[in-house]
Amino acid sequence: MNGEIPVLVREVRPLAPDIKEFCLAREDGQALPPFSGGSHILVALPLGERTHLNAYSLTGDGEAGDYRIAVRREIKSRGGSHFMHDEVRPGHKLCISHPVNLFSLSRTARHHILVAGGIGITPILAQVRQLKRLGASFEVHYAYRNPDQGAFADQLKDLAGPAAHFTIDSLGQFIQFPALLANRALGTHLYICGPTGLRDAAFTAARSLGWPTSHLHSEQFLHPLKGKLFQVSLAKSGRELSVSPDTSLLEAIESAGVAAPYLCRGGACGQCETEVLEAEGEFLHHDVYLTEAEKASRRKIMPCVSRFEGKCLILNL
Amino acid sequence: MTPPPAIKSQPQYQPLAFDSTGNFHVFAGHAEGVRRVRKFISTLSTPSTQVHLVHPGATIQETLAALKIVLEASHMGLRLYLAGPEDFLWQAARLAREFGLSADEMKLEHCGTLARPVYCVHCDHVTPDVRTNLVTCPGCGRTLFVRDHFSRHLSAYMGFQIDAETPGIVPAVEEVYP
Repeated sequence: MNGEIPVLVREVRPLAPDIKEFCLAREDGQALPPFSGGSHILVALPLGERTHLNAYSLTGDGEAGDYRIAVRREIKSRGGSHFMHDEVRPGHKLCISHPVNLFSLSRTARHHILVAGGIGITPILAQVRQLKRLGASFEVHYAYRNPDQGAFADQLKDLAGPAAHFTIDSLGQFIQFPALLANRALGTHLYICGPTGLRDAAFTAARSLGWPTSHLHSEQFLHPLKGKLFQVSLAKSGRELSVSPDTSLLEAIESAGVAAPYLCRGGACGQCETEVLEAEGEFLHHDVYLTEAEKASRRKIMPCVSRFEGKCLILNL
Repeated sequence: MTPPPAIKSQPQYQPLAFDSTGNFHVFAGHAEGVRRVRKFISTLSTPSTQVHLVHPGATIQETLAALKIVLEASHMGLRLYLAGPEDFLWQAARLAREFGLSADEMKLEHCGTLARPVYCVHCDHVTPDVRTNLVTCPGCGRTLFVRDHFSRHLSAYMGFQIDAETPGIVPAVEEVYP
């Protein structure tokens, strides 16, 4: 992991039937590093034979000190969220990475529109705190399933007052993006963290209104695809590997002792981009980083989330 | 003999190209750029409600004042197309940036004179329309050498005193940016 910090769980707090907040502090009592809104950390979770690295957004105001993360218990999970909910108690020791920000605020924006769907509120909350501290112009829209899921609604109301807007699915309320984004002042930026459908609706509306890509920001933590077992050869390290159904290609490479570059581990940042030397079979691209042309070229793959099915795959690693 | 690499900051220009991802297209030109934008607009098949030509003033300042009025009334979805000398291009780009426009919302085409705006690193004065390799700064009187290093923030090329270490000994003046 990039720059491990040993931490202790100071506090565990239920925020909703399936959401828990964890407060993390350094074992040696020193403050954890400051961070900008939108940052996340990787938490090393010992699951069976392997350590999984799960990304969680930091919800706090960015000052050096303790870290707060919120974890939703996922039904379809590789065990990370279950481990956090079922095994982790105050006093538990964990290893985390330094904060990384792939979802930062624009410093030249004249107005910020923040949209959070469900547990996507976590990085948005930190961004709201930062914008308040900067005295910047913003509005925040929080969409969640039903009233008992509005974990952070009260916090958001306190922080943002009339700038906070709430829509609850079960009450038939939905964000209408074409209306929300129409006739916006020049220099407005849109930030969205939530389910893919919400993000697609937002970006489709924005693009049809002519918003440029540089003003559209999103954070998605894609999980690695599960799939069939497949073989892969690493040309440079001379290794042959099997990638089992519930292990990502990146994790398989790491288990074999080969250090492959990575950053977000969620198919978004591009750091793990790997050259394909030879491939006979079907690529199962699951990232949001490669262009359509790059995906079709059969020369690149993002091992953190993508898979392969076929006779032969040789990577330049 | 390969030429030395260009300084990274030196602007590279492309001919104007229509950006169909926008929904309101604003054109502004100065000097030779006026004819360029008029000609470009005449090739468009976009509805005229989506295209606006900023009235070309007698001076850069007049054109910028007219552009400012347009920007004040505009919304997200705007694309800005600029053509003319660098003095105009970068002052217009700076105005647009103040309204929050990003690089992917603007297109700049350099037409006409190669004359440069020059920023004096000693006194902060910007001298417009410099055609020579050396210029006397009106702000502080120093003889400045005009570099290729360009600042988008200052919207000017860097000028620094050429004879700081050899007072009075300056190279020949040449018109290198006609």
